[in-house]
Amino acid sequence: MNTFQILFLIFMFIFVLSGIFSFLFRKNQLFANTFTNVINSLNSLFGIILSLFFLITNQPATPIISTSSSFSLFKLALSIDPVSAYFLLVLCVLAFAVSVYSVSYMKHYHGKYDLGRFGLLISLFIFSMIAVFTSSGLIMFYISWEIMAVVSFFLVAFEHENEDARSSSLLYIVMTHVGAAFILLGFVIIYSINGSFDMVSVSNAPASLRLILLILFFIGFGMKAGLVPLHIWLPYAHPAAPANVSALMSGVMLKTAFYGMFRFCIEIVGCDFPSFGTAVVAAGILSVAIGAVYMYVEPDFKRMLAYSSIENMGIITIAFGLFCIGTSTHNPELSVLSYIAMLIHIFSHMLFKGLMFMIAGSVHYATDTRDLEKLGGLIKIMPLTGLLVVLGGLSMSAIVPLNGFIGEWVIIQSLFNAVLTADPVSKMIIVLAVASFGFAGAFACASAVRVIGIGFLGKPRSENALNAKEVPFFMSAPMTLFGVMCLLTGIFPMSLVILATSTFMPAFQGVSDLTTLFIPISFSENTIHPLTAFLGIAAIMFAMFIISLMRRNKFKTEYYETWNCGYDKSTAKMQYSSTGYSNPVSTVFNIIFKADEDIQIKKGSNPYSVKNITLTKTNRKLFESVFYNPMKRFTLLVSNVSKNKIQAGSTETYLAYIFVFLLLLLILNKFI
Amino acid sequence: MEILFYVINTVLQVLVVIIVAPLPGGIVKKIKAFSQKREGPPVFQLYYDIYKLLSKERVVSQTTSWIFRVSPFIILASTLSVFLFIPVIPDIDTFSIAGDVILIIYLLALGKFFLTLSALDAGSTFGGMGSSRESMISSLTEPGFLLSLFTLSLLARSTSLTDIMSYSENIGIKIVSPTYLLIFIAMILILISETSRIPIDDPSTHLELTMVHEAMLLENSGSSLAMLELSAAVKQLIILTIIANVFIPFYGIKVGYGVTGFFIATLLSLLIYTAKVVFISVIVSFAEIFTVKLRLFSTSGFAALSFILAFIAFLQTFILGGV
Repeated sequence: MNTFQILFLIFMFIFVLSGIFSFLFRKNQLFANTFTNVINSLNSLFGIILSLFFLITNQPATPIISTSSSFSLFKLALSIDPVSAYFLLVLCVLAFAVSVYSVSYMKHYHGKYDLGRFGLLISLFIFSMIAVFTSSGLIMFYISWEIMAVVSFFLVAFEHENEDARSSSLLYIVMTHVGAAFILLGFVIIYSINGSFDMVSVSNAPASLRLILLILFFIGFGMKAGLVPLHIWLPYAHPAAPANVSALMSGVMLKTAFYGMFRFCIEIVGCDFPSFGTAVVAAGILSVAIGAVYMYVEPDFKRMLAYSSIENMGIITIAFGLFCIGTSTHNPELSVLSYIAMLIHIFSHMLFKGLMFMIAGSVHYATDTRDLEKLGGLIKIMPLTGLLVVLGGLSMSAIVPLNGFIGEWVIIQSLFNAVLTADPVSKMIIVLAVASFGFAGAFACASAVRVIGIGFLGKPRSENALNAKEVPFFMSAPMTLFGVMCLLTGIFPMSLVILATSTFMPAFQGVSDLTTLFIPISFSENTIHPLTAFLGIAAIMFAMFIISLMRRNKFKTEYYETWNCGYDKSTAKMQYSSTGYSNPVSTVFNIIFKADEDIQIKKGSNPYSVKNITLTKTNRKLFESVFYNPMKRFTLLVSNVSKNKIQAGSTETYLAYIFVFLLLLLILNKFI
Repeated sequence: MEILFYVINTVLQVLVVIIVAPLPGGIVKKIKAFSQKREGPPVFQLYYDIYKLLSKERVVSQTTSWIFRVSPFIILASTLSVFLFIPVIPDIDTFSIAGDVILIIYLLALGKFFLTLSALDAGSTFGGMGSSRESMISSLTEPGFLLSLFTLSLLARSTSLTDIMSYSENIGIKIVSPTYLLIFIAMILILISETSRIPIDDPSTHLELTMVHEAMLLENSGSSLAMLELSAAVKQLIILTIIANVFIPFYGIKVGYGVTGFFIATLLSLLIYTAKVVFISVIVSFAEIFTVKLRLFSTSGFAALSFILAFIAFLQTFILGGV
């Protein structure tokens, strides 16, 4: 056992230990919370160093533990290879920020819920995700997957007094288990082909069996990633969980699905079917479209971020689909391009979604509400959070020069490459993917503006917003770190590209020194250099600033009220609300929303004076009402009918059933 | 030091853009006025407006934050910096190697983000309304825009605007083909949407019924308003330049050699460029004259039309023999 293996095992098990200690110390809640989060953050830092070391020094795939027990089915087997190291890096960066954040954030729950229990759960959650990324046996992978699902169920249900948290967590655990059932079925089929539960390729199996395996894994992992139409748990689970848990779930847990898809669909089963890749791209387009449209109309800050995650997972699925198309049509340029795109967007999304969820948690911490319709004017009370939410919103909308743009650019380049070499049907689907990028990018921009504008700008709309205060240092420090990283990785995208390429070829190949960070990124002779855009904007702004400074003494700025057409008693209620802002799009897409509007008018002392008008708009959730609710009603109908008709209650009927069934068996026995 | 050449070229190009940008808007207004049997404002009215606004003081609402004060700078800077990547005269190299079509679209989104955000900052109903309508209209136009430019880059086998323009220069007369014609019409429709012209928005009124772009600018005054008006004109010039240089691939004639020859050639190319831009704005003015402003919810049909045209143009690249 060399030092790396020992260090890695220590790294993994410190998480378990910190969780156990947090639970043991739960009598003194604040101490338990601080203790476990400090240990987790230091350990995550250690994990960042380990995984960066692994990637940059091009270590080969290294087994960590490899035991064989007398139990021939189950082997405790962990190993780390470059792809695992990349995903571990993603996990550890986010775990570091979330742990530092939790030191202050969990004080919000002090006295109401058990912080020791929370420390145990979150440490086990991080541990289970490390185990998922480093498992090298099918049973080991499935066990870690299940631990991840169960622990996150308890985390989502953390605020158990809340009806919302209880029902969301129940929906989440049921759906994640259905997905796990598909994965388990796939594993069983692999066992029947290979004869063992090792992660060995099944490329000599018949093609139809491999296609079935691909579909099973895609559905199983797709349910975890939140692909439409298997996404309905996401908009409930992410808002109900505490913000740091949502950040971890959205930032890393959804990506474990893509890790699984990569391992099982590509490495173990092998993708030889171009139509499978096209179908994956089509599923991705659907996720992007549905996520974008629902994100626009959602007034709850965290639920809007959940829909944004669905949209970004759709984008990563499109990249994965292109990767499948590339490997199946033996187009190495397309495969490499879309693979790098997938990895870059996974990292960028972790950064900006983690940032936005931490900001959502800060807003909740400061104002006790998640409803945008009750906020407003926060930017003057929480200036740092206001600046960071602008950075996060720009990144979410994939705007130059932030990091969301880099992933989208590489994916559009891979779409460009794919269109040139695809067959006509795939060409049309790929071009629809390009259109969906434009659609989703603009919708994300508008949603970000809506959230920032209505939540942070203008006048406060309620007491909550008036009484807010800026968040403490341990919460603002990791958010600032992520904001700065979003900006830096956007301006110097070579850093992301080098990290992504180091998973399959030696890092820094042909690179002499750090000036590589400054070169443009280019794929197949299409180059961009975001640093130029950033410097250009900065230079022009600097010039304008100098000019305005020179004119400062001649022209003063006067401060006065907002212009409201001469009406002087303008209140906060006269501003646009979130529902009002998204009303045009909601009307245009009414065929999806079939919105239900309810208007309540409260009259004053005489019938001609109106005191209050309240508009409540309920959008239907498309897949729930079209697909899941009918299925639910049908299942309940069938079970009611069978309960009432078959279980009639009389013993004689049951005896008759037994008699008839025995008779049938005897007759059948004659024929077989 | 090649970088120095690029920087000088870029600075000159940005200055040329600032000078040329307010011209197309004035010409459109003049033609519209003549069609209505009016005199109309002078063609250079926007220049006079910007000069007047720069000499007025600013009134800033107390409800606003730093976003309101910084936004005009960021919007004008980001719109001007798009011209780092668009070749106005393809022989003069600016930083067009550092940005391609996709970067341009998402860089324009930076301006749109801050424009819609600063409109919400004052806490007024006008700003919210303009911001909300602009979000809807631009979100629906974006797929068409991206798809048109994507199809153009497919034909040229590259996403760089310089390559697209040199490809259409190489095709020469064959540019009069179904694909290019359909994308031309789609780009004109997108130009109308992005620059808030009739039938999407009425740029000459401040009434609530017809405001989209003007509502977002309402709170600004003085030098901020001058910057925002200029950035709207520059944004119009961006799309006009793309249309002019890609669809009318005639960039100028080479006149002799030496420094004076170079200057004369550059001046001639600039004149030809301005003539192309004016020609396309005349087409846009005809669209303004012969249509009326659409109902807000009918603008989605308009955006869908530009998307469908771009999609059919894409299909044309590989069905029935290609370009």
